[in-house]
Amino acid sequence: MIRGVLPITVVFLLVVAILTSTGQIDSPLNFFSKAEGVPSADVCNDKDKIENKIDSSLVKNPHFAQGLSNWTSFGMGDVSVIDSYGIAVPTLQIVASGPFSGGVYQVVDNLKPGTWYHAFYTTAQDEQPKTIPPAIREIGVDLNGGTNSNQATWGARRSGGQPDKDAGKVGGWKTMGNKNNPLITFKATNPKATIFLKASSQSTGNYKVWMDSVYLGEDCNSGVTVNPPTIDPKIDQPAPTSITCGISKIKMSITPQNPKVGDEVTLFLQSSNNSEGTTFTNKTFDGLSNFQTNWATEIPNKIDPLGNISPDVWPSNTLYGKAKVDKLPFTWTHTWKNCAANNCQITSELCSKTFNSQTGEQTTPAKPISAPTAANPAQALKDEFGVNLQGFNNSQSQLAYQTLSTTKNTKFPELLKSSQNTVIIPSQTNLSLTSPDCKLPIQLLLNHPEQSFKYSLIHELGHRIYFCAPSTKNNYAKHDNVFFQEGPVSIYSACPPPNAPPDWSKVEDFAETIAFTLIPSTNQLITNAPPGCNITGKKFSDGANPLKDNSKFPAHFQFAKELLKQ
Amino acid sequence: MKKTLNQQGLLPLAVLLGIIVAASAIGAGVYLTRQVLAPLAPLGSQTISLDFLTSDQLTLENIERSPLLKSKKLLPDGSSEYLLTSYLLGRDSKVIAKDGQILFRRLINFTSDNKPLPKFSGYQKKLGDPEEIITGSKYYGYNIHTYIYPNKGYSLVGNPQTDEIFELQRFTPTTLDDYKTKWTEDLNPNNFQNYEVF
Repeated sequence: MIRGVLPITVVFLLVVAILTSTGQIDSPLNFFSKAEGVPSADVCNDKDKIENKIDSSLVKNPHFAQGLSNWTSFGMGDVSVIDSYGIAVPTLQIVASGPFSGGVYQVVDNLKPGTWYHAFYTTAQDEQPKTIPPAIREIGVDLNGGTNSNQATWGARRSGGQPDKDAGKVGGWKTMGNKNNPLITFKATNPKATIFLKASSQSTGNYKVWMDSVYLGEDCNSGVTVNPPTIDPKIDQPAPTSITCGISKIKMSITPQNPKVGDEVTLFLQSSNNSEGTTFTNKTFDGLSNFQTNWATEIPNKIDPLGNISPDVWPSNTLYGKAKVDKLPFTWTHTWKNCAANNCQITSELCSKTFNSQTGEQTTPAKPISAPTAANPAQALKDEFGVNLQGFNNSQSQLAYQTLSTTKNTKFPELLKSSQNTVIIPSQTNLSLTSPDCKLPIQLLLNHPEQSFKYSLIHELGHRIYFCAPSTKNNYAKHDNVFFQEGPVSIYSACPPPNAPPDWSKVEDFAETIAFTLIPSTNQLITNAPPGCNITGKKFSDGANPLKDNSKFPAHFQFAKELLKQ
Repeated sequence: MKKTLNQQGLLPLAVLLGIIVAASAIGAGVYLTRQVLAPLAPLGSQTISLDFLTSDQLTLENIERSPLLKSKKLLPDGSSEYLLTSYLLGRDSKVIAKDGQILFRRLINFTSDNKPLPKFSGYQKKLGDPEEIITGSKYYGYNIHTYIYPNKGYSLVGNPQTDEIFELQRFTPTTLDDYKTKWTEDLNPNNFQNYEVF
């Protein structure tokens, strides 16, 4: 045990020492907390074999001591695979800006068909900003020795996602803690197979991922504890698409499975449970005709942020259409975009998948359609929204850009541009502030949590529109009327601070209305009324978003809809 | 023994007279209702212009016959206040008159068709610089200006940031002090000029 672990530990300690000395990480403790467990090799309880485990790995160059020799890199997005990171201690490093997907693969020979194998590697990662989730690290296999990562089968256990709490001993391999290193167990079908190491993230941010000590060997327990993913013929789990297609997992299938020319086929499209917000954009056929569908009526409607029923937004569901087979093989391509939950304006990718009646599903790499990030976010904010962000760092600027990008299909950008060169600077106080003097900058508080930052940004810009846009643009009079009819929509706007101007509530109501409409996922930031402000019985007293639908404040709801989409 | 009207052959005449009187009364009632209690135009369908309020030829008769007239009330000083429906639900257009003379009128410029508002800079070309600018309006907000031309009988209420005039007031030309004494209903001089909302 000690002899087996020692070399790995020494390697990692050296890496840590180098990283610490170069400022890459702030302390060894942080590094190990991200390493999520270095495997302790007591495979098969056969201690005599332990010391040779990594060194006897069936992959060549398992420590990347010879750089990328025997390995081939792959990737999508802004990703670089750097070999031999460090001077004294070689390892693999992936540097990427999310969303990204990338890694390396190696084709191995001389496997024994019918024998169970398992493969794993050690890993660590660092993410910036710290508010984004860790990169997901996986290991996969192509049992035929193929080199397309999109066609690999990925291990049941991965790092960075949900920890596998049951994996104290998996495949005969002990792991450390609840978060485990990526692992896959499989039964060889050919002498040749390909091992893929992959890191990915759907989040916007910067990542560094380290991979080392790649082990492939026979699984002593013959796959008893970990089985390769099985396909339930009845449920037929959706196969993952390209990882860069975000949370979407789409399964395409047909009935009958082997149709003849002239047959009618039924096309099934199933999304995984977590693909909420996937939005259909297009479909094409080759070799099929007379396509008929009742998708439009079958898809459960979802409500977009502006309250419109959006029939193309669909949650997990099985959808289908029927068509006549004109030739074989035929193909059916489904294209969709990914949306954040309840917000189809946050879209980053156009995904596509093709079903070929002869060869089955194929995934086309995702194409960015409206990048939520910008190479120069401050400049993009200026160009696209007329907002001049000064004194914010790059990740704050990216977040601001991402936030405003979600409003692109509304009139909000146009309203901003009509609001006289908006300048935003970091707040000098503990509040975000907007002056009615349009020559003065908005002061935005930096240390908000992400959701509050987004909300405050939209809220303050709402003030800007109220004060500085012409009344023909901001519908000043109409807002005056809806406020007269329904009063304030939130606890915050209903409860002025001491010594506030008499029209406080009306001014705040406008900004709140904009922010609640454009960020429907938010609730009220202020949920407790200050002393002296009685909100009993008010429609906003529950602290929820008062404009999620039109049930509480229909006039405000309609006003916002017209203002932002007029 | 007295003869009845019928016996005298006058009944048809009496019935006819009654009908005429009744019809006249109903007609007068309808007329008065229309003139004094004009029905409110529903919000958003307001198509009747209030522009006549700015006319130099404005008369009390015009006002009293306007379908936009909401109410008329006698004020303690013996003057009459006429409120007329404007596009803003919370603020009416208004006329104050005394002894048959119109002393003050205010016109809300907002319209249901969201027409561009008149600009202060346009008025400035005609009227010159205002004698005083007061920041703070009770109704429109602490950042709103009232531009006062007392000796020309004009004051303008608007947003200095957008150059828009929300409301036009006309009154009998007077001094600044007299204006501030008489027509202060909406003025709210405040210390909020630099107040920043959050």
